[in-house]
Amino acid sequence: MTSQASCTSGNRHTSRILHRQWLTKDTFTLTLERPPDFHFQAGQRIHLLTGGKTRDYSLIPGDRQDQLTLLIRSVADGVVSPHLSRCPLGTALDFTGPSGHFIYRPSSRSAIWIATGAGIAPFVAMCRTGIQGFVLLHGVRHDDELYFRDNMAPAALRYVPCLTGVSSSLSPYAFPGRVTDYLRHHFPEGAYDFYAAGRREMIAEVMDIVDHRFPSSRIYSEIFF
Amino acid sequence: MKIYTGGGDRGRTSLFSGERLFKDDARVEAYGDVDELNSLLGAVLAVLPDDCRDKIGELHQIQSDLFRVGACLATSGEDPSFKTTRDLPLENARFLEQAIDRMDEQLPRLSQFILPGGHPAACWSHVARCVCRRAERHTVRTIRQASDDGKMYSGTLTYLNRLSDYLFVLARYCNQATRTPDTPWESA
Ligand SMILES: Cc1cc2nc3c(=O)[nH]c(=O)nc-3n(C[C@H](O)[C@H](O)[C@H](O)COP(=O)(O)OP(=O)(O)OC[C@H]3O[C@@H](n4cnc5c(N)ncnc54)[C@H](O)[C@@H]3O)c2cc1C
Repeated sequence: MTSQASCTSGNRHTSRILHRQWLTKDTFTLTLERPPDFHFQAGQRIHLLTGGKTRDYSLIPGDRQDQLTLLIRSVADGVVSPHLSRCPLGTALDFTGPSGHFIYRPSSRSAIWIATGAGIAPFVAMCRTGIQGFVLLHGVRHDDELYFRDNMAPAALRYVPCLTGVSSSLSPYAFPGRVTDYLRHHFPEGAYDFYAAGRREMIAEVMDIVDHRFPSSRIYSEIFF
Repeated sequence: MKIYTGGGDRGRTSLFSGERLFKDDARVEAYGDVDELNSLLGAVLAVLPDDCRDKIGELHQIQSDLFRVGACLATSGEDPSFKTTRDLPLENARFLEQAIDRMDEQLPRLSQFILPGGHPAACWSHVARCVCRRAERHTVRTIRQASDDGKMYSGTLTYLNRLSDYLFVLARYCNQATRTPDTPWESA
């Protein structure tokens, strides 16, 4: 359903950047102060306002109660993400939120989490609430982009890295191809709860596959770009 | 942020509760009607005569109630996570009843059927009333097709039923405020 009713927004907050950690050459985590009155459900996002631009980022609980973490890919020709990759620690960021309905809904069906790239962020947040037993398909180019693998793999019933880069066939534990190829050709038929986050084209394709191969399933999605 | 997913390009759509449905499903028709109805209330508001400005707050309240009705219809079963996907409480229908009574007190009694028309705000209000009836019919069909869901929509059904009455009275109210005479129906 396309509906404005699906968006809720919270108050405006300001927070300072405490820490930046590079995970690959273009992707980093940003640790922010957590405003004292700020609460969110795992899977929700904030709406960052910076330099007259606004962008959404999924929230990951910080290692400490008083911190929030964002997982950000710096897009080469982008505006906000390169800025966030460069601005000095201590920079104040304004944001509104939390918002969004991409949250985990327990059910009797198995949960299949599908992410591309930084689309893993909302699932990391869900996993940190203690959810276990999900199947996770994480699509990236190279295995160094399997962010938070050490947190996700032990909690998952099955963790399937889907690698599209040239060297991917060298990784014996990974599926050499896209998440959608895996879903279309290697996933047993059944009724599942699918959760998909990342590229719009991936999500549209997952929906198409679900319609045809898993028709009694449910699907929840979060489009990043 | 892009609002399109592309996931509906082949004739299906997703509910808040995750199911994929064909877009001609009664449930999708029902919340589509509610969306159309809400937009028509925007049209009523856009041409509301000055003498009916007291209706602005009411109409905005109804528009936000309809958002909630749409979200509720787009969710099969109750989703405990969201207040917006739960059925409307009966107080919302009472709000409409009180508004109807307040307008009705100021209107002459009707002794004949009247033709829909008059001031532009009255015309849009009549169109909205018809769409409201359609939303109600599709909601009933949704309930009949998913028997376990019936209990969930009693507030919504009452609300839609009352809202079409409200819109009928609002049309008359706008005509009276602008001294636009109602045209009675001549049966022969
Ligand atoms: C609900 C939601 C949640 C999001 N959560 C996150 C998150 O947790 N982490 C995150 O990194 N981003 C996330 N995004 C994307 C983020 O909001 C920005 O779009 C992104 O950071 C690019 O912004 P920019 O100003 O740098 O680039 P822009 O100037 O906006 O875009 C430049 C180009 O880059 C493309 N692009 C945008 N994002 C990506 C990407 N990740 N990879 C490749 N190309 C891209 C755009 O389509 C565009 O063509 C989310 C988006 C939404 C809508």
